[in-house]
Amino acid sequence: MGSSSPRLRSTALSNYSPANRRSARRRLSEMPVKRTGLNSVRSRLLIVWGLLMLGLGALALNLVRIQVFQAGMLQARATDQQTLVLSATQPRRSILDRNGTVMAIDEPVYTLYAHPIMFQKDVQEIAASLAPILEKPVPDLLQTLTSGESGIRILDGIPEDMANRIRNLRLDGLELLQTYQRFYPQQDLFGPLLGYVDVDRQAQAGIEMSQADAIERTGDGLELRRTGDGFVLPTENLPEQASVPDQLQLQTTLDSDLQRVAQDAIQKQVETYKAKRGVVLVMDALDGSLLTMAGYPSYDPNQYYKADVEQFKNWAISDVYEPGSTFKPINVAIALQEGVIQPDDYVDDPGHIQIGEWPIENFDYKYVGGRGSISITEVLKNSSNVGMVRIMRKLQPSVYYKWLQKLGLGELTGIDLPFEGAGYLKDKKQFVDSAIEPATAAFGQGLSLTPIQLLQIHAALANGGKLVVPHLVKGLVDSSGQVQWQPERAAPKQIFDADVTRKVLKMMETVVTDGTGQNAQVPGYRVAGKTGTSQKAGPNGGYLDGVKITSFVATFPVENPRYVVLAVVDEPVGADAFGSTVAAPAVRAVIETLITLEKLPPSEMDEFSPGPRPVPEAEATTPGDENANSEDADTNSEDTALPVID
Amino acid sequence: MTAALRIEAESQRRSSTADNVIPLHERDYASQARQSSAQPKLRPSTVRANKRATQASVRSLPQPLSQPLWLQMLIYAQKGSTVLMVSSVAAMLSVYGWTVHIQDSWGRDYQKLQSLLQQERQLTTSNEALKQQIAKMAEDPSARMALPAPSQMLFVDPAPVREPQVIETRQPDVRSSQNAPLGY
Repeated sequence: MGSSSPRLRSTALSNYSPANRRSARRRLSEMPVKRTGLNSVRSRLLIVWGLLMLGLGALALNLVRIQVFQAGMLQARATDQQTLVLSATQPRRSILDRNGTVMAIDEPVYTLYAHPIMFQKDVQEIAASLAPILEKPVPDLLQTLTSGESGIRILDGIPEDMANRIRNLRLDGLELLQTYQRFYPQQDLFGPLLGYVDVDRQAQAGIEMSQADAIERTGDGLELRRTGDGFVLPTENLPEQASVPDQLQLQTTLDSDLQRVAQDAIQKQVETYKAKRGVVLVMDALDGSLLTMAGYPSYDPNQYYKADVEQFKNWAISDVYEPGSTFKPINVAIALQEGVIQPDDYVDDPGHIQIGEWPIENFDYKYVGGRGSISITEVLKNSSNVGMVRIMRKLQPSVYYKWLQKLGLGELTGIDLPFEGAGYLKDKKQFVDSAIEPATAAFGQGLSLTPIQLLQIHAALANGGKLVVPHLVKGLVDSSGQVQWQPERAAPKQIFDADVTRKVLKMMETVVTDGTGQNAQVPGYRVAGKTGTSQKAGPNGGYLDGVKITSFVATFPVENPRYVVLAVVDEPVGADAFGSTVAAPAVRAVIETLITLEKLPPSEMDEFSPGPRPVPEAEATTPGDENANSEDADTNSEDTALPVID
Repeated sequence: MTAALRIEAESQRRSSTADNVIPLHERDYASQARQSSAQPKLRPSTVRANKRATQASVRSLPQPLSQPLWLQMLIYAQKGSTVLMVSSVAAMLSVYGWTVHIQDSWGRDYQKLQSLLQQERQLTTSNEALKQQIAKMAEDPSARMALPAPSQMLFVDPAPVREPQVIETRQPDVRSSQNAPLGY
């Protein structure tokens, strides 16, 4: 104020000259204020201030209205527009085999919806531009597009590249919803093991179903904010690890290569003998993990809707059968464990005995008759039913029954696949009171179990007497192979002594070297096995005539038992259809592949002489083929490749 | 306003006698207007000249009014809060800029992650499908592919550990190099 020139000051004061005052009066005439100059200025100021204050108050009121009363609604609208929930459907975790091969993986697929009410272009044009991409004829597409106003589903299962092409058309009114679809690269190799996932993303069989909790990713998806141009931004309350869906995958103990070879082998046997179905199982006896469960016929889970419903269940774990002779080594182990026999004992084998009103005879009784006094080893080697009955008669039936229960017959093994069936054991009173029951159990008839249960018990003979829980699933592993989660399993149960199992394995080795199992010989390697050919039980009791189920079980290498292989072929046709001819070759093929996969050295390096180079077209003949027409193959000892070493 | 009127008071004093000081509140604007209009317009140079003219009677300039303590404190507080405000605005702007940058780079990295995951999935799928294709081809007998058999496996014993051999270094033959011509 001090710098203002005096001239201005005088001009300002001269405003109040009479001439100016008149004009001022005129200006202020409409204002109901006093004519004093200072007051009129003040009153004008006051008025302007009042107006401004009114405006401010109105603004404040509006602010209150928006912030307080409409806050909820507006916030909801903004959140709707800005936030997006990414992938309401989370992809399922992949399933791997033990080498990291992917067996099942989720692929994004899209469903195309049309809302004709939002079409900007002509329907004809839209149909014409969509038809080549969707590979549908234009008239059909036109009919679909004109069938409603909104929400018309045109096509689902659209792969990603097709979806991108549709999106690049930039047509209004078309909507692509993303979902996931399971893809099984190996097609029908694993079949019922993996199961399948249906349209509603529900797992229906196999590992997909039994491990659904581990495979499905929980959580509602990630919530993020989106800017106007579609760029995503994080929200404030983003959890630490939420941005990256964890890269855990479910690893199984299966081996794709072994499975493939086993599948081919069992398929060939089933087709050769026109059997109904066949299965090969391979277990690592040390921990019960299954390397292979190959069945034929199988189905492709990618096209599960085309498969026979019967195939959805895995008959290796759900259907029971009477094991027959493959149960004999187990009985011998029970007898040895109870101490009622010694390995070098002899029993009398007349070939044919009568128990009450039931006759029991050996398979080869008609050709060979009775054998007289034979050792326990020879009982197994020749698969003598009568010999087995004589052995098991030394056991009290109640003790025998307790043992059968201890083995787990009539109960589930606890494998981590769905729909497992339990075996069948007659009730105690019936078993103990009737004399025929322990007798038939001695050669593996009269009781029934699933193939996996038989494998489990033979694994106990291999691993030193422990009943392990068979399983397929190793656990959830991360990208570096570290196991992050494992399913809970029961601990193994010790049922036999280790030396008892060793003695039984030595007996089983003679079956392969010069018994009924010579078709399973692998030069240079010690294999212990047992053939089995049993009649199938009819639905009304009794046995079906001429209907057999053949099997072969092998443990190898005998000096350090690790792997147990079981092949079961159901209802092979032909007079020459026995466990030795039908099932044993499949087991041999599997053992050979297992040797190359696991790089197992031969048992006797010096004695090893390479066999003929295998040719893909012709199946190499092995010694014993010609002689293995019946279960008595004790006359071909000149073809043994190895001496039996104790 | 106060200062301007002060100059007027000075000019008044000049025009009138030194003792004739008219108090402000008693003055009449009209009379003053007449007076000032009759007076020559004052210029800053004139004010200075007048000041020099009155050197004889040195009058001290009016002192600035001493402010009460609370007012001083308030002024200091105002200055301090201004500094604080400027610095906090600067900090706020930088933090905001950093937040936006972080969100932006997160979004960019997220897009990258999604595209990488997609690529990985596509690679895995096509890899496995290719393996299946080759396996199917191998089953065909005309493909002439055979499974590895145990008879084709070779087991080699590792050689026993030997002592490291001492290799004596030979002296280069000096004479022969002398005979050889240079440049070859």
